[in-house]
Amino acid sequence: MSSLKRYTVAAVSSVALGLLLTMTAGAADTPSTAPATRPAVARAAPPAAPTVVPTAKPRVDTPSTLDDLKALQKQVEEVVKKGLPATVAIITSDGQGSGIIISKDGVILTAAHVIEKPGLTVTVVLADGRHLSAKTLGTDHDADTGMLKITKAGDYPYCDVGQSGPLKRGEWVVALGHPGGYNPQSTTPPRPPVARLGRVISPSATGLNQLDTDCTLIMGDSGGPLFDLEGHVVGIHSKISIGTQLNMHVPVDLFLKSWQRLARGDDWNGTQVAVRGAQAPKPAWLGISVEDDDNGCKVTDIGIAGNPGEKAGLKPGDVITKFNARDVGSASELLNLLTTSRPNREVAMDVLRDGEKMTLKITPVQHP
Amino acid sequence: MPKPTLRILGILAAITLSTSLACAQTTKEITKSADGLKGSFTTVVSAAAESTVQVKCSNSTVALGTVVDAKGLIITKASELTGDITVKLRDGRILPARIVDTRNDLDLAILKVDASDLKPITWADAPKIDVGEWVAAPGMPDRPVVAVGIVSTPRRVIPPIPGVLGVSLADSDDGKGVKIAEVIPGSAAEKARLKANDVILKIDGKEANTRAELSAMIHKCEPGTLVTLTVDRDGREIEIKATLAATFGDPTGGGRVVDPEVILGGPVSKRASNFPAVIQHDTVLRITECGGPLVDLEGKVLGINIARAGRTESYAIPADLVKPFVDKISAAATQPAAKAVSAGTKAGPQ
Repeated sequence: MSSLKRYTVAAVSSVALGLLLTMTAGAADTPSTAPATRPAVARAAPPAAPTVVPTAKPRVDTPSTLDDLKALQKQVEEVVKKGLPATVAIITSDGQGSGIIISKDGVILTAAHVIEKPGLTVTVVLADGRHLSAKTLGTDHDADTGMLKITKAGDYPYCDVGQSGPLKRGEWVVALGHPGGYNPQSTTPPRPPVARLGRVISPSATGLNQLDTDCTLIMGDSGGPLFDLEGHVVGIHSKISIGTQLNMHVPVDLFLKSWQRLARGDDWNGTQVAVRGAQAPKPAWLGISVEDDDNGCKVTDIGIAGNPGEKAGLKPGDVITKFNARDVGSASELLNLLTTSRPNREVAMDVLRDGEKMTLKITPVQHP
Repeated sequence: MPKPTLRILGILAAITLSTSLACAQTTKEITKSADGLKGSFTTVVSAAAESTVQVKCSNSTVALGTVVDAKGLIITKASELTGDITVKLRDGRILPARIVDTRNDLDLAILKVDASDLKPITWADAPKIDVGEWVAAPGMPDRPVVAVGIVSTPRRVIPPIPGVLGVSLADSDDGKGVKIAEVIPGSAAEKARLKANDVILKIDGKEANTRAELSAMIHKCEPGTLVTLTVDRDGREIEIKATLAATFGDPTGGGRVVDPEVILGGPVSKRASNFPAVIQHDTVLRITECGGPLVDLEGKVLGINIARAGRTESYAIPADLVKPFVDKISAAATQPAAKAVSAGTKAGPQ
């Protein structure tokens, strides 16, 4: 059944990538390993770096009045109007993702793992339904940056590139992309790129080369654009994790940093990802679904029989308030504690059930 | 078919979070689900909230409901209703309810409770809905705003999607039935406790002897369908009931298997497909928060929330599709009263 492949995820290499990046910051300076056969497009003049347009008026506050909400709504609607025509679906021989056109002549930014490597011919689908051929240019598998260019000369809708560096916690952003992939057969007319609203949860300044927002993403969104409220591209969708607030984007500054290499069609850091993948540590796992609750972290589902949560006697509706002697204030805080917990060791967990406090013993296992 | 890509990971996110936890504002305060933002929407949803109630089946909350007629008519999500139905009103009253009528295409049911003082919803007049427009969903008094977000796509059709068991198949040794080669962790098959080497002989009493036959029979059912499988396990014939799941977007290849609910960021509605039209929005609704109204910044009711469909999407049935159903039932319910009035008495509906 085709469903088998659909559940398979390259999580391990991504996990290791994130963990080890800070320790090997010099890795990006390794010599170019450009392929022997350069694509014709890459041999032609490589795309010039765009003029960066900073966010003039970033918004980090929570709107409190109706007029304020309406002002913010207007900005979001305008970002969607501007971003939609330039957001593309990318269909490769074995994958599907999204991308954003950032120049009139059809230069597209995406994630490296969408296009895999330079020199490939892929199909790009514009929001108006046009299917166009494109050649893949550079890919940095560490940063997950990728570039391609529409083959046919033309005057394409595009968005300006912004800056990810100045993004702040709480700043409002908008995501576009093709969640689930572009599937023209599913509806008539085919679903256009899908808009999502969110705020920056962790700016890229954490040194992890990642930008986290609560713009929800799913498979197929990879490579799609994250916009500031002025419609400038500030990130490219890359990864997700447990919980709807953990959506990771490549900060657009990383594209600018290695623009020359991406533009000339270099392919780098690919092998390192594989090596690191083999060494990937795995977080501890409870096998339960959780969400934020006013008192802590609420269990919404205990998952499959036999997982640690079920064995410990957790029930849907339980609110976890303490885990391994540490207070738990939200779902993210529990997930955070799990990453520093050792699998296969019993810990105590305080739980509120129907208003009554109880302590359960739970043994997290290695993430399957 | 090419697979949509996006990497999934576990640990990086937590590290990112741990650095941010040191900041003055917690993550909880700055997300679009933050209480502060929801608080700003209290006035926006206040009118629609007056018409929002909670629907319980055998005492567990299954959905929200929307009052559509003062005389006790409430619309809600049909596929969540089982057993004894009660409705919890905003004043705390819990009343028994019965299903008056159901529209399967819209997955909506109209309930009747014995009350005559309810506040019905006011529908928006043919609203123009833009992508990027802000929306909110009211809840019960203890959670007045359940979700905030934006409209994600133009109004669209949601086609039926195939149900999936979550197994890989092999031919059986004797050509009878189809053997399970592997059970995908987290799948419908695992939840039903199917095992590798089980041979599926029948689905709902119908024989399946080839892989293609079995796949076709399963894919024909919608996610959420409960199927009865006749299974040969170690020579013994047993019956196993399994609730089919939805197909999920295809992550990047790489050999690891993830619980679909991890990918989806929480449970999704059993019925989340096959709708003639929906307003797709990105609010993070709980499955028990469907059945309530969806409003715009003016507080106008754009539709009735009908499904949490995945990590990135929730659906509402547009008001113009709900209204004719409501009007029909409402008219039928008030007919006896109209007769009574014309007869010169003041009797209400029976």
